[in-house]
Amino acid sequence: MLNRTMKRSAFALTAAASALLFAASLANAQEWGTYGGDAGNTRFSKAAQVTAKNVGNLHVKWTLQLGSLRSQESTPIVIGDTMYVTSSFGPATVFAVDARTGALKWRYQPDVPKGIDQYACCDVGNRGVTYSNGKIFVGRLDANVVALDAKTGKELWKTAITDYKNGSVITSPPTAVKNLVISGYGGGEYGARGSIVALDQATGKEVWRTYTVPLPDEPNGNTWKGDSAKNGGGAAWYVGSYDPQLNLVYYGTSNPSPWAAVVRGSDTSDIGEQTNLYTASVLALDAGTGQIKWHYQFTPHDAWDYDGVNEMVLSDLNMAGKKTPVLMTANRNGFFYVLNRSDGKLISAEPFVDMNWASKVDLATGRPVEIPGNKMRPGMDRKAVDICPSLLGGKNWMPMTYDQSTGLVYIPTNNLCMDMVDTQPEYKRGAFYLGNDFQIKKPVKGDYMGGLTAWNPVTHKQIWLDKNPLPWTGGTMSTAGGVVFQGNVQGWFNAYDAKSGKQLWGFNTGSGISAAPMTYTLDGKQYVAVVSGRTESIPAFMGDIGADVVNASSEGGTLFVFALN
Amino acid sequence: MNLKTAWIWGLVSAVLAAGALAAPAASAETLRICSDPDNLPYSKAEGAEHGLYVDLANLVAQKLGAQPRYVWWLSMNQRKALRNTILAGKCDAYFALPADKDYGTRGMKRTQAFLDVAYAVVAPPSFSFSRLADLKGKRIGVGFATTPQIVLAAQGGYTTVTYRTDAEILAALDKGEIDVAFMWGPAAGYDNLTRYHGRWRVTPVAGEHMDHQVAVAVPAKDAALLARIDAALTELRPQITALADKYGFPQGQPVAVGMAQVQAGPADVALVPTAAGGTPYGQPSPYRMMAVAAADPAAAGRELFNSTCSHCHSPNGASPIRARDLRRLKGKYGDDWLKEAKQTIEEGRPDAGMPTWGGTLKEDQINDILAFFKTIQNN
Repeated sequence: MLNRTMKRSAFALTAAASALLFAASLANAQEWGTYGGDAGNTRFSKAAQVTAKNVGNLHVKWTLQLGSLRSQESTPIVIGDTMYVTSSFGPATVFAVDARTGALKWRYQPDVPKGIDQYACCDVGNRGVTYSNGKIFVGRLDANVVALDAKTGKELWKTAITDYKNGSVITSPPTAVKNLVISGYGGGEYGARGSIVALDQATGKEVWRTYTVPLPDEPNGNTWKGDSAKNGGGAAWYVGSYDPQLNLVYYGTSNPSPWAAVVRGSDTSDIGEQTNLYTASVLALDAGTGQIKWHYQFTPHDAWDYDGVNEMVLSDLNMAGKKTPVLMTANRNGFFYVLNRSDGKLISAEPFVDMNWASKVDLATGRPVEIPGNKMRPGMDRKAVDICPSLLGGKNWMPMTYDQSTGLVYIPTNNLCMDMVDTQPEYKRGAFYLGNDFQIKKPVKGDYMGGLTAWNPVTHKQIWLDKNPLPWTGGTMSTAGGVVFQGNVQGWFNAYDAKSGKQLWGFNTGSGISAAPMTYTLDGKQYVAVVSGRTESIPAFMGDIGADVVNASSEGGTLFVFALN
Repeated sequence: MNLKTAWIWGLVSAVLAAGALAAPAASAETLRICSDPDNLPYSKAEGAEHGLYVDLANLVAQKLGAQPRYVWWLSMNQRKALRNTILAGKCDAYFALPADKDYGTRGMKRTQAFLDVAYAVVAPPSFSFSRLADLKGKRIGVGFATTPQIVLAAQGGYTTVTYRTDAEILAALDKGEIDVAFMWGPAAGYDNLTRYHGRWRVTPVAGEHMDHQVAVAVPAKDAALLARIDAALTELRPQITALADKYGFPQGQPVAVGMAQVQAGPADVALVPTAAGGTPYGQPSPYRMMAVAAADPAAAGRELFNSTCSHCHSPNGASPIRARDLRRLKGKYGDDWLKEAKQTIEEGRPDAGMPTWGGTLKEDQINDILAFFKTIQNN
């Protein structure tokens, strides 16, 4: 456990932090050293000063104006007594502030090219930074990974890992592993070919690069039609997870590209071998070499834009009396997956939201069983109607939390459906393209569109559900105090009883919340922090529902930090 | 000042001046034109060439007796460009937008279509291109996510090489990496003219999703202006053809590339469901390969129908829209129904959105479809 004397030596702190972060699964109740709370992205803190009983006394201690409006997606990290947090747009600013008071230590404001938003399919968010070995690592919209001196904010090196003009922007913090910093990038909507890149933390030099889509002459290249693999998508645009014992890094990959499935293979559910590996999949990579140790594909030959990027949460679960190292993920396609993270073997896959595109996942083959007759698979001029979930997923990127005390995961869920068909002509700059026409609709079942779902990953049961009339609810965090925190599009930051789902406390931040909260303890005081600032681009995908999301709150960009009085 | 208020103001001043010293009202007009500042061969704000849209807008303004004034907005995101220009009241006319029926134009009205724009096949003049099947066995350069890429993939049996940009496709053709390019015609025509000394023949194609038209858009409330621009466009037809020539827009007779023309290539879609899914698929994809040399004309007609006509008429002609339900032909037209059906297929019903298939489908293919129709008529 880290204490205050150690923080004087940044290096000692670092070494201790890296060793402890995953191993103890945040046995450390003090810091929140990485985006997901620990290297396994559990977002669970053992801090227990704030409890279900006293959470009603939470009050704002300080705030930080992030200086940019719209689409704030950052989870701050705290190392020693310093908090690092980013704003949207670039990020426009990386802040280092005193974690007790918010007093500014330094700001890093990179020059990001004007007009970059046209390359960011799904908004200009930034989800935060990564700390390792005295450095802060940031992935930028212009596809640069930069290293900053954690003490001064000085830029130490800058490496472009791809060309952002291919739509390959970086919006998520990289994964730090030993001497490496690992990042993917976006672009599944623009015909990029995804890769995951490891840079040397000291120099920024590329150490390895693993493409997430094999070309025809590479292993599994036969899973693509024609030369479609070279623009095949599979972008790993969200955060990775790391298991130090197995020395494996886990990344989810995006939808294949283009959306029109017929370019990549069959236009029916009879997909044969053209499954489009390794898109809509999880990849387990050897951290030292980038070699793919195993892969599992959630949505073979995707036709729905069911990205597989959602965070991989690592923990050890008691499965049939046996402690099993698992990876859990709540996929956009509506299934909650539990895999053995050492070999990728599927343990269970059960629907965690109302869904109807597949009847189940066949545990023997690992494949979803689609509804017969291509009924729910959109194709060329073949419209599929009332597909659930919508392309926004049963869950989108907003992270879930695995609570060690209750044994439950708390999932920010969307309850939306859609109609979809390939071929609606699109018009761009004087030229026409065949497009993909979709309409996101209200759910087939239920009078709510979003919520917080408490889910038992062992028994595959929903324990409770807090409904929201609107979709796109924020990320989560849980604590040993028996409290789950989550923000919503209306701008409220709420606390729930982890066991019962009863809402215990709420605070109106004044702008919609997508970002996931975090907690840390300093000088014996537990703080809870969340960034507020509603999404801007995503509602454009939702039609009339999107208008309601936009109208639910105003634009914003503020970090709120709470503590008990 | 927008055109309408300028015009009214002109009237008012004319009245006030009792006609004594007022200049003709029209001379006070300004026609504010929105266009993309960097989108040759359509439009460009600076440089020697301003593009077809701008040259045409100048001619239209001249016809209207107005001074053109340009409001530039990049149209990477077309909807955003519209929201920020014409829909924000910042211009009187947008040059130009699709004339397609299903292109949403809320808040705007469009003139007649003034120009055909289509995909085109680019190849050396020695290459004879009169039907899609001529591309068989060739290395065909296509753009990522463009209509040709998707349509050729759907049909199967073609060797495509995918590029990200139009410029890359032509560079590959120049270097001999591909034999032909199948790409957006205006882009190909302009680059062929300006960068490749017209060394290739650029042949436009016609067919579903392949050919389009463009029109001028005005704010929905400006009905009078719409009529005036419409009239100007009619008068300017010869000049429009000359401009299309100047900027290399493919002008030749388009080659029909209806899906039905294509014979089945090597099936890259299994016709029989594999064991993986375990379930037979009730409804074949409209793009399933056509049965080769079907002995039964009605069966061949059904395949052809489902791959070509089912977009509008539903699989097997069983459209839920009464007017498109082809099981009702006999009931509707009585004894003449076959003649009526044949004529409609051959000549189309342009007013109802039914294309002309006479040039696209061969006589025996149409007969196959009619044989199929016989099997589905309601009693």
